[in-house]
Amino acid sequence: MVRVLVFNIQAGTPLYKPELSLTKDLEKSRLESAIHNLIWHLSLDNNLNTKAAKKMVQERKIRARNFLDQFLKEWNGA
Amino acid sequence: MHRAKLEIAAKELLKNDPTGHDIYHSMRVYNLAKEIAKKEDWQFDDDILFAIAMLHDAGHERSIRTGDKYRYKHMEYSAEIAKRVLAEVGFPGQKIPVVLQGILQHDQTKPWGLANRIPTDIKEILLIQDADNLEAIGILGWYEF
Repeated sequence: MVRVLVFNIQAGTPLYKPELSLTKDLEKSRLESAIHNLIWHLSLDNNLNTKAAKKMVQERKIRARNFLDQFLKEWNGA
Repeated sequence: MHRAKLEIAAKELLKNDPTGHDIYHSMRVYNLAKEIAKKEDWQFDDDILFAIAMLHDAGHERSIRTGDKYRYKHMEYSAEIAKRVLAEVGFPGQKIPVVLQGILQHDQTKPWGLANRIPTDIKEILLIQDADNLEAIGILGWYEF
């Protein structure tokens, strides 16, 4: 997760652009916001080859989603 | 013997990467790939797996340095560097083509049309692809920064 965020920030991509949809056109918006790239990365389990990795990714996705939920709450002032 | 030399070379190549694609990432990918293989009960060539893991991001820093903003070319750069390094450390010549193919195909997040998207059934490559993808989603990176 942190590598994805650092990767984008180092490339000069903004941390987050709230005007971009969090569910649509992620292939495009992942290059415009680090958070959108992180969300897009959560779909990487579609690319996984093995059953073992598909199982292992589930726990990682829960943690990532918790991070994203908290990020968006704080962004919106909660 | 070539394995120790390979690790030293990888440490040197990855030492300036500012984005977490460092030797620790390479080691995690290697260990994760082995863990997946164990769970799948897959046999694999450990020399090949180790070499792909160590060198798959060797061209990452060059990508950054040359303005390749989203690192689309890092796989090609890594393969170029790996070809030289593998010869220098005395890596078994007959295994080099698979290592280079694995490096070129390790990152499935880059756009369609690149060599990375060509389907493969080579187990060492499938393992590295899964391990690298898991790394992108995992929380482990927190401890590197």
